[in-house]
Amino acid sequence: MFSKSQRQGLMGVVAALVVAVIVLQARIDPLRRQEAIEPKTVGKVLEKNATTLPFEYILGTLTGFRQVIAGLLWVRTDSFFHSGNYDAVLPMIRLITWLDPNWLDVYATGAWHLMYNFTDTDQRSDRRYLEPGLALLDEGIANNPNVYDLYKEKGWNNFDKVKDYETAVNALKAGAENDPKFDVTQLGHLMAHALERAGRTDESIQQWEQIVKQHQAVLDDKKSTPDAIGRATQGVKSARNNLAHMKVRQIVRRKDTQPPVDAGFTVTVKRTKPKVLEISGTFNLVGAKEFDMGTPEKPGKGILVEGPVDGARVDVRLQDEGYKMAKRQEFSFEVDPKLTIMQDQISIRGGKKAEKGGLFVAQGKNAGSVERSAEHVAVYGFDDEEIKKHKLGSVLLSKGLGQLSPMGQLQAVSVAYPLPYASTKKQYTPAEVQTLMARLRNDSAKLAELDGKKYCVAQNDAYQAGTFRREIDMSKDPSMYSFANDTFELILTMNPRTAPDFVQDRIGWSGEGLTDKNYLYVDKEKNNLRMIRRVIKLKREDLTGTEPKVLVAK
Amino acid sequence: MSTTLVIARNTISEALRRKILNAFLLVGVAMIVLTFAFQAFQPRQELTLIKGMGLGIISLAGILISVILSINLIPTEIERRTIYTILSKPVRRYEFLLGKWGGAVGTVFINVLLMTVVFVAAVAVKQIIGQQPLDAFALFKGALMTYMQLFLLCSLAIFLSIFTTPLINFFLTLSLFILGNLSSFIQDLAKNSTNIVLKGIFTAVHYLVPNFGNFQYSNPLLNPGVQVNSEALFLIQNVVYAVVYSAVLLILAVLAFDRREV
Repeated sequence: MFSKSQRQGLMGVVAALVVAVIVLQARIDPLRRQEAIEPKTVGKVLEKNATTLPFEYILGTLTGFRQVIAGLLWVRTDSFFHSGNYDAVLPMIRLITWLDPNWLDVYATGAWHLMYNFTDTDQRSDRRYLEPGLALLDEGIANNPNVYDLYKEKGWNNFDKVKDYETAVNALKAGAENDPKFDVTQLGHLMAHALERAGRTDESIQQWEQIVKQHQAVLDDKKSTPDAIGRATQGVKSARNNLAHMKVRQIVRRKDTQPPVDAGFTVTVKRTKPKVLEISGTFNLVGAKEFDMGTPEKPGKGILVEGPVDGARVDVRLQDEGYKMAKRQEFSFEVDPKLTIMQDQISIRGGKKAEKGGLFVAQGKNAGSVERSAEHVAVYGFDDEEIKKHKLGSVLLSKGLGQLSPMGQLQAVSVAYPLPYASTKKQYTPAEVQTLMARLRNDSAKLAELDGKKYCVAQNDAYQAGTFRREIDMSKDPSMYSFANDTFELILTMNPRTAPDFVQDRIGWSGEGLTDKNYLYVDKEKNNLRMIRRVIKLKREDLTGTEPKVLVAK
Repeated sequence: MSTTLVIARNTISEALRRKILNAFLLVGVAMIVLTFAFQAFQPRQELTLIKGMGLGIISLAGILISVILSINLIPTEIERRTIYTILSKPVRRYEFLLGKWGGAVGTVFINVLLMTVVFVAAVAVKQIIGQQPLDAFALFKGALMTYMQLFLLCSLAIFLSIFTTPLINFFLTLSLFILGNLSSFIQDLAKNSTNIVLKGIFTAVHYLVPNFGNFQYSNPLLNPGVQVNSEALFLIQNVVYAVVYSAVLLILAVLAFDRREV
């Protein structure tokens, strides 16, 4: 047994230690309450979900198992996603990002889910979810300002989905500024592409130059891991390639984009059934059929052969009149059930031409693609009807050798004796054409082969602009397309910045080589982007009426 | 001191012989292995899940081991009357109590260490195979915080075992554990309260109830992107907090046990 004085002494020690405990706690509190250790969002789980969350989840959250709970919820979310129960995914993402606001993948996956995976029966994204998707990324960035990942996600989603390249550039720049350890391949490359799409080609070239240096620094650093060296090797190769292409294109596109191509844009909008629109039209889409790149030191000739091409698209957007996507201050996955937005893309296809004395391929009832060697010298396939319509005749190559124009001769020798696939030489010289023509005249086997493939000599000029057509059915998804508004706008655009390289080679990065008598639109807010744009105002009855009706013609 | 160590050693040996503890250990190890069931996820997500689950499992297994072990140590000796045999020898009561406590925290240490080593090794192997940045060893910081939390929990349970039956102690200890984890919320309540009496009560609870929430340190380990200010200071202060608070509880336990009729 302790004596009284011993007990008093021990109680004194206890009192002193209790004071020490209080002092310690007061010193620990500010360190513990920092966001990195104890995020404030955890409180929202209890504040907003105390009655809906199962008790064990609440208890787990309270007793320090919030990340276990977040993990379990994430596993469950994944199973919901794979079973197609998308609606259940959103509240889970909300909860998980509150429980663990530093779990970057949940924001990234959640935003991807919101922006890409809610679709109608024809797989068109529900554009109403772009706003909450971007708000989720903004919340993630606010909770993780010093990590580049979510800036990159915001950049990518703006680049790929929203096609707002300026916002993409700003997000990516912010990521690079806030996290000096950013991944050059992921963030830097995307920024260069976004700058190019934003029409800021000089800055894009500077960015590629910077990227090459950054990759090279990794390669030169003796401390770099094999994995880092592997990625930098791939990265520098890709960056040098892109840099060279940008530099050459900046030179050759100045001449190749002139004179501008007349798009000859027409559109017909028909209501075939209630809430079903058939959108069709024509677009003279011209691009490079053969392109000589060269090197930045010795740029090539640019477009060697041009002609109608497939590949670009007309963007179609139907929305409540005057709608503009707002920036949400706070993330919520709720969307306005009365808002209607439909966005789709329609490919421009089937443009073709033949010039008198040139080659074409007679393809019978259905015209389609031609072999690669023919495609690169602008030889197109025509069906019987088109041949008749354009009076192209039916003179097979072997019989029409004497009728060939200089272009026809180039086409003939190119399809007869194609250049190797990987050849750096892109086209035969005029002298080579003459030599090969002499050879072809005596090469009866080759002529018989080409006749067999129905290569014919055109007896007339023929030109056919590309067309586009799609039936857009909005009747099957009333929750997505409520048509609650009285007035709508149907916006049809062709944006050169989203076009593939071989189209941009002719019409330019920002539409320098594009014009249209009726629908050329110059967007000064987007660095003088020249695009084709037509806005058609529609009333609700136009969309919901029962009888088939032509709403707009030409 | 040597008497205390002998009792502690015997307590550890006995605890490790008890099947229930081994079962917890096996469950803990098995569950850590189970965390490798997330291969369907992208590598980074998989790693976050593994780390989160692993630390959680170590913590949960540790809590159960600590509470079940600590609440029974002294009452069992009294119930079995073996305490008379021990105290009839030249063993002071405080030596007996400290020995039992040493045995409890030693047993928990062995369990947590084993689980952590297996867990860290598994994560490290995963990272090496997946050619990911190797940060598995940082998980030892999380395990240290978990252990210090359990260290304090053992002290609390042993302190309460002087006054209460094991059943009551079980619920009381877990209740105080939950309350201690809620201290941030209680601190916020104190800050936001306009009633001076409530403010005083909340403040007292925040500072006087063992603050188990101090030891929640998984966020920086699961999310390497977050930057912790004064990490070393934070970890050291928490270790000191657990030791000092345990000292308070043990002295009070010693004083109470000294007067208790057995």
